[in-house]
Amino acid sequence: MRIRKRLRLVAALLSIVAFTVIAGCGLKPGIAQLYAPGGTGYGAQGALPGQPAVPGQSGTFAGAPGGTELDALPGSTASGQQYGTAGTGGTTAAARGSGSGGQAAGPTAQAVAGPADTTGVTESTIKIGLHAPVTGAAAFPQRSFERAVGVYASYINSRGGINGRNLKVLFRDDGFDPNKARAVCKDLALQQKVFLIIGGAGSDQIDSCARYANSVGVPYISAGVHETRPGLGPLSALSTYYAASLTYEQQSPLLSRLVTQQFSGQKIGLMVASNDSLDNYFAVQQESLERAIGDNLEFAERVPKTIQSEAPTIAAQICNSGVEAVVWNGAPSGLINVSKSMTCDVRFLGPGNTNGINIVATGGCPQLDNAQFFSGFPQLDKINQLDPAFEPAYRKENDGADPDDIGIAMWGIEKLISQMLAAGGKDLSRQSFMAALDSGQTFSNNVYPPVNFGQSRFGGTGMHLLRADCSQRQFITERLNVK
Amino acid sequence: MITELGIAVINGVFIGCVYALVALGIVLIYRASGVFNFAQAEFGTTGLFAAYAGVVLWGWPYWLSFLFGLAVAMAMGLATERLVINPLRHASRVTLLVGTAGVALAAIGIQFWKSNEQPIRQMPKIVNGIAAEPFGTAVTYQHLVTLGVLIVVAAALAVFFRSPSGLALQAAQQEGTAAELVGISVRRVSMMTWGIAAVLGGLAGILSGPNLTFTAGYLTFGAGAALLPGFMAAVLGGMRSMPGAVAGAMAVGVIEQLGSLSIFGYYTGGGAMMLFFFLLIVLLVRPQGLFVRKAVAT
Amino acid sequence: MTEPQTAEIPKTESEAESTRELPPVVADQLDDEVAPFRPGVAGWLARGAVWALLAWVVFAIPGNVLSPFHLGVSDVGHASKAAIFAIIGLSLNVLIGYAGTISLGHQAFVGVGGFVSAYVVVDMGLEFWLAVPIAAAVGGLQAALLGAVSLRLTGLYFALVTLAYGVFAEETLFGITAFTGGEGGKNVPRPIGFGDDYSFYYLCLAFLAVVLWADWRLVRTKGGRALQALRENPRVASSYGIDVKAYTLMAFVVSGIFAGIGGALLAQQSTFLVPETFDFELALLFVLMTVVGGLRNRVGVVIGSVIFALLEEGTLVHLLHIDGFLDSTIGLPAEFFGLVVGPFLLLLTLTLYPGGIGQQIAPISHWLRGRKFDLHAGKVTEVEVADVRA
Repeated sequence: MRIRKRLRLVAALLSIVAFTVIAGCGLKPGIAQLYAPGGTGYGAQGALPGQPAVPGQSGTFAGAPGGTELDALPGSTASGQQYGTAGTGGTTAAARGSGSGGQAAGPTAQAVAGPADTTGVTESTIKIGLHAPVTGAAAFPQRSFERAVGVYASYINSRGGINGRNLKVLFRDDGFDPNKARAVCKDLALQQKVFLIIGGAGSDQIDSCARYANSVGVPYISAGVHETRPGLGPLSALSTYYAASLTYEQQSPLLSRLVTQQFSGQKIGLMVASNDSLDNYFAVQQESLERAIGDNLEFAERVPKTIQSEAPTIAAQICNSGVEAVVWNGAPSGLINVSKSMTCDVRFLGPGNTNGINIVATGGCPQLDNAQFFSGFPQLDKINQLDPAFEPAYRKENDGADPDDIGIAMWGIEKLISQMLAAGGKDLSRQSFMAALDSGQTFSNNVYPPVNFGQSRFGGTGMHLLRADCSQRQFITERLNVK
Repeated sequence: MITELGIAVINGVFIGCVYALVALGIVLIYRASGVFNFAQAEFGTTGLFAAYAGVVLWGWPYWLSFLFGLAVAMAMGLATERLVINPLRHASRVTLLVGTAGVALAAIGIQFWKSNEQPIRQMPKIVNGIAAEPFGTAVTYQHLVTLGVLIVVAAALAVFFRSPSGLALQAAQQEGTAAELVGISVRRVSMMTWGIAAVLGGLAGILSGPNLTFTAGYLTFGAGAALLPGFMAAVLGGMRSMPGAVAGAMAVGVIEQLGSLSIFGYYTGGGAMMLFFFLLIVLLVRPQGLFVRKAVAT
Repeated sequence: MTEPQTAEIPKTESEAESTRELPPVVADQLDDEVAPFRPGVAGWLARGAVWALLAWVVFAIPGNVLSPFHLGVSDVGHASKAAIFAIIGLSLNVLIGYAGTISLGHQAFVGVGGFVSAYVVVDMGLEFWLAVPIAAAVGGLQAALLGAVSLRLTGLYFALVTLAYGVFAEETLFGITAFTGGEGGKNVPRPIGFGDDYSFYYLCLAFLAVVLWADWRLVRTKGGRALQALRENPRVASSYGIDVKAYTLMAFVVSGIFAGIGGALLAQQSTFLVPETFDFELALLFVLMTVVGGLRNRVGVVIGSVIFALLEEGTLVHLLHIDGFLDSTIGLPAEFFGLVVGPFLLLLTLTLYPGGIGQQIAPISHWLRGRKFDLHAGKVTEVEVADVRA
């Protein structure tokens, strides 16, 4: 009996191995772990109980009083959500405070955050966090993120760091789930005590985490996504949120112009996914297109969030309408599914947002040939001209691995953040950092189009235009800095 | 409106072909092992991944990759039978169900992990091109091939169940002990059933894969989700009738497509609600199935 | 039937039904050969030490009391989540373990509990302490409704209905913006006094204790015994006058109530609720953790649930510091650990240890309760032939 059981165990193990081999053959083998996604900090993570107060910090930036931001914080807590308890300004004392005291102390603790908040900053390091989906429904390649995150940090650290401090980037997987995104952001903000958080990809996750970061006073920076969401209000109302590229709404005039330039007099359709975060974009884009091309806007419709068995119906709808081009904002995989059932030739255009857009190119060719999307970062064909340091640094950090577009995106955002951190001054604090952003200084780094938060929290000034080139199976950079 | 209905019916029938292949496998296994096989659709996804690896990654000819995909699906089916179903043959059916769900999840987990370099993948078609464009919707050669395969498979199964080994299979399924007494190896019959069912799943996966993009868990809850529709089709056919399962699959395919008519367009979750109540009503009113004349002894 | 719990019933029987005190002779007989064993002083001390260690791990470490470790807020958050998953595991255990029917749509019950609780707290402005009973009641009610309609179907067909119900809830019910707050999610404040993660953990523990107690009482009532009888053989049970459908419905309702409580706590734990959390994969995870934990074994289910809750977040991998090891040996990143390893744990459990974790730890748990250390204690040769009614 026992021997048979042993045999069964052996057989089970063998089958595991067999499955692995079958599923894994021919796919790229894993390289050694260079960047542990788990971060370092279980256990004695420096718990800085007494934050060194830097008096007069915000005074160095005229016209950027820390008070305006801090006023907004109690305001957000007063609206009925008692977030203050979860941790205020990242001080351990508040998070671990006794249960009864925590609640009452919430709003007040926010107001007391007058002294400079230097969470995540020590004499020698600045620790920042980044989240992106590498598991879940619409995940990005985990290896790509693993390789990409921290490349610029190593590069800048080897050149003396940011005002003498080394940059350290912690990466967390948000599982393409807004709920988990909030959990990992809480971890980054309150347990790992990072200085700021970057939203890597996924608009719902960015939305969820940005709102959480605001509730605990952590600066949050992401590529531009939607501007507002029904029931939750605009992202620009968040006092710590900064969009480092154009939002979808801001891209709509660019798209309309592109449409009039390329398809004047021809019929155009608009299809937007039925996510409620895109309600506003849909209205804005429809209005903008109607103004630009009038009756040539043949249809403007919402499509399901995930397009699976509906794909043939949508494809038939597009082809029956006789449009020349479709402005599309929805899941890339849905677009490919639709394009596979098309009987006609239609060009797709859209606002760009996501990293790893080359997944679309490799998956969507040949149907998506010449599709045009805006993007916050250039593609592999232009990056060496724009920033010659990228490729050598990437290869050095990753044992010679070929760079991909996620690498460029992460390089660009880390570079941008480094510039912003440097602008935050030698006595870096969250107040001085945000004051530097709000001061209207333009950050230009050759990867992302210039960014300026003087006017609003949506600080992008332009986008790069990408075009799918199916002969190369990747997106190429057609025009830089479209405004 | 006529155009929309036409599109829905045509697409429904072709999607129904895939559901039918899955449903046939579910019915076969239910008859053999008395279990709802939650791994049925995963046989398809695994076969699809294997065929994809053959065609795209290793550059094999299509026919070889196709056969390789089917072989991998079959190997997975046989391994499931040997390593999970057989050891649990005296356990409750619910336990068996959990076991097959475990097989599916294990396969999905490995697919997620191993396809992580490029989560969205695309399988080339057997024959490219569009055969006809009724109502502006595309009837591709791939669709016609799928329909043809379904007809051939259905005919082959019908012939098989009249052959000696087919009769032995039926005997073993109905009364295992008695079948053993007249010299039929229940063990071999069980393996044969799982093998055939897994190949049916593999066909569903490899044939439907090129219609959409695929990811891990493609046929279970990914883009080509066919598990729940397959179950519904099998239930409509009374879980035991093969022609019933095929007819049920076509019905489910068309009903699902009707859900994407523009009159339901802005109602979120309308399709899922329709399917739920449809299933509930069918189970409560005609638990023996819609497409069978009388209740089959269970 | 070598079920571990039947052997214990006589000991506590007198507490449950005080009709007549049972003579101790009966207990001795049921405890058969090893019954007269009494541990010595050293034995008691050793057992006491292990109990103290367990209590220390559960109560002291998460609060950073008397602990050499320092757990941060999100570590404790994972611990809270593990406690909530244990409640959900116990909820499914009532259904699968006691009643012998399976629910593949349990994520819907948990989700409805969460959203109802959030609705009561946020939109109606009531207290959390009121929201939990309401969520539990709604959980019980929807189970009663679904059960009343569909429990005439048995076994596998019922599983299929719950599966379809789960999909229906996921796509239709949770799509109602007025109820769920839309795709962007809903912020759920925690109750006064439990705002921070450390005290909230103890709140979750308290609820887990209540659910454990309720579950323990359930097994000892008339209903619990009836469930046991009908699980073994529904036909025989009904011939003895047990109303099979009514008792199965009761189990379903109890399971729904537990799930409602779990959902309410889950909403509070993350302080943020989005509909898409409650998908079919979550339902499968719940089934997985319950079966791996060991059906009808409370401690096993709790341990199984805790393991899977920690696996899901990748926390377990980090805590054990094996992420780098796994990645460099078989190229398995920590993010995929739960996804890949969990199902294999399930399959190995089903085929090798049908009693699950409950069976694996049986020697230790028996020893801890003052019996001799016996490596073969709690042996279940296979998961019992429970439900063959399909």
